[in-house]
Amino acid sequence: MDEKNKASQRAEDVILRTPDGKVFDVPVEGSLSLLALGYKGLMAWRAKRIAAAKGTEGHFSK
Amino acid sequence: MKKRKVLVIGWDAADWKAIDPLMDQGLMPNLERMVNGGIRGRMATLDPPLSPMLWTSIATGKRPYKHGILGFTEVGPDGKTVRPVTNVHRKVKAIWNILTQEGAKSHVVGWWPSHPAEPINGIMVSNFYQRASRPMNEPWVMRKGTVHPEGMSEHFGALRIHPAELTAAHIAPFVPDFAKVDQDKEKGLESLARIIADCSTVQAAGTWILEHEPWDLACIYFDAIDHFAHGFMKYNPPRRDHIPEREYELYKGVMTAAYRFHDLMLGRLLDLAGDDATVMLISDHGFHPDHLRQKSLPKEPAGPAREHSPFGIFCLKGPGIKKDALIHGASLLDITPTLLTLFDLPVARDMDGKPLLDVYEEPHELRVIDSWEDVEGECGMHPRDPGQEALSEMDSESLKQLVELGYIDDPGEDPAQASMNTVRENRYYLAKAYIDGGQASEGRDLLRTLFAEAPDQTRYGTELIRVLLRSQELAEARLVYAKVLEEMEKAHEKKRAEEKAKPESVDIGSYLRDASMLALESALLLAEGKTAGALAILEQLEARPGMSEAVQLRKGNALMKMGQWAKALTAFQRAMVHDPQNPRALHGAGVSELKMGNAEAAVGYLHDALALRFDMPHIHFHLGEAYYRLKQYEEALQAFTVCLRMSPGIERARRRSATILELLGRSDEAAELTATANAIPDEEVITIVSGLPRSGTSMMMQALVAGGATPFTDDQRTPDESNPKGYFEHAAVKGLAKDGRFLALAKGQVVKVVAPLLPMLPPRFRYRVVFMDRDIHEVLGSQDRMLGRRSKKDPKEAFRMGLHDAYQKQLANAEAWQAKHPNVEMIHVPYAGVIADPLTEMRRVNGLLGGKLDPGAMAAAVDPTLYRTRTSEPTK
Repeated sequence: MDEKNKASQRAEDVILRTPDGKVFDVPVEGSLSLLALGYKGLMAWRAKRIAAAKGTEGHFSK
Repeated sequence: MKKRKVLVIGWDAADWKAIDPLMDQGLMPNLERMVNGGIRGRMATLDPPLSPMLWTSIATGKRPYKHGILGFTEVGPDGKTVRPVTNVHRKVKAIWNILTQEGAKSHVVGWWPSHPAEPINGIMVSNFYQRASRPMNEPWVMRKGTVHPEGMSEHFGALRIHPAELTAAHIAPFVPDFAKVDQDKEKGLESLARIIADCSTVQAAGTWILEHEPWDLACIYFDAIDHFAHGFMKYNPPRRDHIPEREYELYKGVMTAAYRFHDLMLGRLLDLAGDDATVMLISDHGFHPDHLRQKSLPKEPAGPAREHSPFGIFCLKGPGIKKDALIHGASLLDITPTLLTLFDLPVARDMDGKPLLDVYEEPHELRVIDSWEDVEGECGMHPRDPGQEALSEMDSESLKQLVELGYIDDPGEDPAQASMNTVRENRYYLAKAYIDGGQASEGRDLLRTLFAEAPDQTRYGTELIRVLLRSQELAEARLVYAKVLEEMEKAHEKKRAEEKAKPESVDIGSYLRDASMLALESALLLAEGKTAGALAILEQLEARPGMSEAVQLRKGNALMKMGQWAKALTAFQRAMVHDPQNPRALHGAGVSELKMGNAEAAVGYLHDALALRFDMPHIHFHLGEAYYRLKQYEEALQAFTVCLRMSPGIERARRRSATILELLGRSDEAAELTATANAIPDEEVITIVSGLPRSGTSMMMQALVAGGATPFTDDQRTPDESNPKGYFEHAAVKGLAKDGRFLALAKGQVVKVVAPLLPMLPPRFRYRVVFMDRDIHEVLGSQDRMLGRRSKKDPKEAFRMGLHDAYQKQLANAEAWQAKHPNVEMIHVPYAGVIADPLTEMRRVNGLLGGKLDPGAMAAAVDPTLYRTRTSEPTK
């Protein structure tokens, strides 16, 4: 398990909620908004990728 | 220390010119929220506008020659390798060191340069943190020293985003038609992914710290806007003719997306900081998004910096800060002094910036200390030699990035040559920093050395010519110009031979001076008094594309010198058409209007100039003059007061202020002001006795010494028949052109400096100059007599046209030098008048020097029998 995945195990960091308290469904492909949210958005996105059981391959860089 | 949470966000290269249209369209709602709830303004950058130097000035309040960070790269501790600049050469405390000493908690993320992380009271994540150096499937090693405390390295390592993690969802907002890009041939998308990943990594670390750690100060720096802009601003609408249509269509939205992405990140940071926090958003310089974009860049290190605009952004909001307000005249040097006031800590006198007290809703009580450097206690700075490791793979990756951005030349394979180039380049930046900081003689000396060492680097020569022009060292400027031309011709001939040797042999022709060399020639001619020649070149250049603004500014200055105010105004107005935000053009237009009697119009231009560059005392002075003409005395007084606060040596402003105070019936304040002028500590002022050789300078030195002044002399030149009472000279003065540092020892004393050397006096000291005026025929005669050539002849026979003209020019140069330097007060003392009525003249001299000498004793020291060479009888 790499470092990124270890960090993403922390459940309290990976659940995002909308302002009205609903759980936000993180898109598996990610988004700029998630990155702008900072560590929390990053963790949530990585957790979603793991949950979706498919790693996202790099498209724009090796 | 006041308890306050302050978040400083750095957006390298952010520019209101790009931001305002986006805010107007509602595309940057978070910044708009901040602007509406706080105060905003432009922030003047420094020269050279190179980010590691600038961000260190922001964090220290000091210019580069004080803080020691001088470029993009430095030589490693082995003396052989070149590496990206680190913070180990920073000589002074940054704001986070000061706060550490005060027991406050500071966190720093990504600041350039901040590697290795300093052991401050808080977390520091260095600028080597975010860059991925290996493919994603290989280990991404965190370099030692990236995180303080080191125990958090693993944690922050997990928050890094690799460019290869990104998907189409991240790229599409920047390049909607990304599928049309052939990634094997074009690197645009890869570059975009890297920049997005890098700044998202910084955002991840910053947000984690704000949410989990207590903080008083948090500084989070993003370099992405600068990187996006260097790569993609050329595609920003509107399309220019030289930009291929296909590339334009692909990348035209990148800059808008970049700013919108930063706005999203800003929103998150504002939310995390909370309403009780004070938030400052700044950039170190701007980036032209408009018609001022460069078409091509010079092939020289740091050439891309030409794309920067001279004004960054400043925005501040928080408790006690003005709302929906504007601030004028901020400089990046003002940031640390202002941060200190936010914490109610004293500002240091050795800082080059000023606190921006106009940001406060209520008057702020300012406290001042001499220096924070003297305050003892653990501040979290590195020791001088932290034992840096040599070049690593991470360094080479970072170096590669700087090469890609065009900020440095590829260091190449030869380490010795690379080290030498780095040291030389950093000395060049140091020279420019000196000149920008008003220490022109130090800059000039460095440039002389650099150009002598590497004459093929013609930019060293052209920069030297500019500084020599400023110090009126015209003969040398002309010689350097010739040498630069010779080097350019040599380089051209080499290229010509190479072109001829190619299979498709082409003759590129003989060397022709380019526009910038012609413009420099015009500046030289102008300084030499050959105004018509200068104007002819400028008019020839006017027609050339891309030269408009610079040429019009020069033309305006030339016409002002000729007293042709209306034409000068037209030239400055034409420069403004090109760039309405050019403070030099606005200042020139204001002065032209003032000279033509249009004081009201002058006020408009000068206010506009000050809104851009508040730190220029001469603009305040001319604004004061304009208001004075309009009889708006309170406004005039305010302008003169600001002028004097910035440059206490501008005596004209002081005199005018005193006059206004008298007019306003505030005689006591007028008297106090006059007394202040006289109360400048004598030990801070250097008295200069000057004039042409044999114009009575030794006589004046004798008189001053008799009156109680201390001469600065080494007594190497002993009395002789020509000067039986002594010369009162110091050998070091002859070396002024090379080194003026000895003058620090001459404060409070009297130094004899012949007229041709006056322009070489370092501008950092304050001078009172007693300038001896003597009929040039008598001067020439006295010199001949001294040299024993024509001792028996009428001095008029000794008249020699060449020398006469040269002396006239030297006198004019001395006048021009005095007029240009606010740190100089000068009176002219007629030699014949001293002989005829010594007491009156000595009283006048004593008045200039603060009234502490004995005019009677000074007058008694004058020996009229030594007036042996005269063209007429002295006036009785």
